[in-house]
Amino acid sequence: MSWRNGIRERAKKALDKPPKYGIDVDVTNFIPKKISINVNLSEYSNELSLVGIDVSEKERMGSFYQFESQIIKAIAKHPGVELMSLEDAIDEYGKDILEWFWNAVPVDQDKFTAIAELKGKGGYFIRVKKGVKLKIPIQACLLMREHGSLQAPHNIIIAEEGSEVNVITGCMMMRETIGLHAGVTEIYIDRKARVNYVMIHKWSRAMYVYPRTGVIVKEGGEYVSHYIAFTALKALQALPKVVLYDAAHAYLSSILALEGDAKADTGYVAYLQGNNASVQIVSRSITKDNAEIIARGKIIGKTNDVKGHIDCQGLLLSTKSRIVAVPQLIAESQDVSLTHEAAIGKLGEEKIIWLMARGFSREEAESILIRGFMSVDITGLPKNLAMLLKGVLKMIAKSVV
Amino acid sequence: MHLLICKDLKVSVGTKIVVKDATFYVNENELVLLYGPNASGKTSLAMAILGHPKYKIVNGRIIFDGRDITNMSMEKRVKLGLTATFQFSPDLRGITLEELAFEIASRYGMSQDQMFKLIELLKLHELLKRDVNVGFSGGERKRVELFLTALQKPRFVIFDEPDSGVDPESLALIGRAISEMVKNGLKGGLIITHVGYLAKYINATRAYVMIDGTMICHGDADLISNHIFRYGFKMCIKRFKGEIYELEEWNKRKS
Repeated sequence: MSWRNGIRERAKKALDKPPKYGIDVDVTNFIPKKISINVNLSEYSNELSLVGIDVSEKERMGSFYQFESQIIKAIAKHPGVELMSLEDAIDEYGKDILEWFWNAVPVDQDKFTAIAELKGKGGYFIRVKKGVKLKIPIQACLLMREHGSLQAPHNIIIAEEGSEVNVITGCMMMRETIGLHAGVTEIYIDRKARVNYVMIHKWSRAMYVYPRTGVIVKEGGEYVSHYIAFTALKALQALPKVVLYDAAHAYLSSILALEGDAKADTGYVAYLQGNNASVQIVSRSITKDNAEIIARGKIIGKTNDVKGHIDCQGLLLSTKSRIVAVPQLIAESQDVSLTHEAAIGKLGEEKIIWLMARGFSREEAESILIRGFMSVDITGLPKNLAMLLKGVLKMIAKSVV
Repeated sequence: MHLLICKDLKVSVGTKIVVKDATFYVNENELVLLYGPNASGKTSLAMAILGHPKYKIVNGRIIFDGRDITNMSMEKRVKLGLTATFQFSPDLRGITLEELAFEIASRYGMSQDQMFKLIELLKLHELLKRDVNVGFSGGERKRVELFLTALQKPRFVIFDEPDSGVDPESLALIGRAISEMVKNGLKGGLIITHVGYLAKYINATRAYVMIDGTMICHGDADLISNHIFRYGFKMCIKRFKGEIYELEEWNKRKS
């Protein structure tokens, strides 16, 4: 594949390039692995439901499973959508894949994009045809369990003009062992198309997580993203970049509930590139034990009549944890409306007492308040996806107390 | 039979004594009014009876349903069916009223029919999908507080100023909701008020007056209510100072 040589050359040059934010990692310590066990997904149904994956696949329009570097399944249930592994997509599209390959995320962004190109395996390719609207979600499940493993899939989602697709991605480390997850996701949303994207992460105490995401939303398109990470991990750094053209809109939320010694540096960057583009960036950070979260949000208003708002809230559940809110607004045109609000605090004791007077135990009261704290706007999601998200957040609120 | 007895209660918050001396009782099937001017210690008394950990009982006893609950945790008191409506209920962002109501109702075995009846009665339809108390008016908050408390099917409730800052229409609804609670098993209540607006909507038997952390008089609810409506707390203070002895006597003198 000579067309890929140039890309690989650029990647090689970036192999030592550290991430802009977060702690640096020696990526050479990790290699892609095969699974050492036989996989029967139904045995994992309870665990997988924690990250939104339904192995019965009843309420799913398609399913993709990747365990370590192996693709277990890639099936779509609708003729208007293509769902396959990236390798299969490259076979099928050949050089034409370049239209969606490393355009939303630069291959030489840092060592993690580089390693994904050079060593990464798998990833899903979802292409929804013009005008096809799929309310029932497609699920993608990325699992790890091997010691010292690198999982660096390259995912591509294409929503053609006027189409709609809902995607749930659930990623999980199945054992308490060390690993590196550096998935790349590129999302291309054409004119008046819509993508609702929910990503749920559950890792182990020794996991390094460095996903790289780029989204391009064309005229009148809509992108809704909810990123959820809970329990412990070693380090997480992610800053998806979303570019919005004329009258495009995005709602970008990240909900983190981290414990142990987790260190996270996450958020979104939105470029309001076209007139009347708008974005809302929402973050809800919860820290327990010694966890630390840096919650970023950055909006760059480049043209006229654009609107952007950042809402950054933090909740400390321990005295040793730490939250930093970094909202940033950049106006490069006079007619922009950019605003932000940020607040960090602890659970209100009077609210707990009031809920206890309403018959809840202290733990239940705290869990209700945490659930409320984590709630973000889910009105843009189809009902089943909204219910799923609510269920996951409820479970997290219970487990974090 | 006495449902709740408080004897010689002295309550502190931090280093400050907020209730100096409170002795009173509420019989089974009785609603009792507790009057008092602002900052007289009424809410502190309510919180101490509820078991709020910030309010320490330094002296005296609380007997509920024949059990000494003076040192019992708030959680256990609520489990016994004792609770309070709060004067200032908090905003719960991200939790809809409907969500919370269903959680409380299912925990206390309140049927959907009973719940919908309360929603109807308190005119809460339009608030159900909204976050609890967020942006609610004073009257709406009081109605919601009554509603959520009613879902607990409590045996005894201290209503902390359910009538303050409330429009006349809400006042009538609150009165009716308390009657509905009685139908659902409420055996007694202490209604704290400093204005007494609610007195005409409920069937209170007796009333107490608390001033400066001390329970200074008690008697027939109508008698005391009428006095306070006419003269404010003046006469209570006089009595407290030993200037007069019985309300009846004061009444006669005035007429």
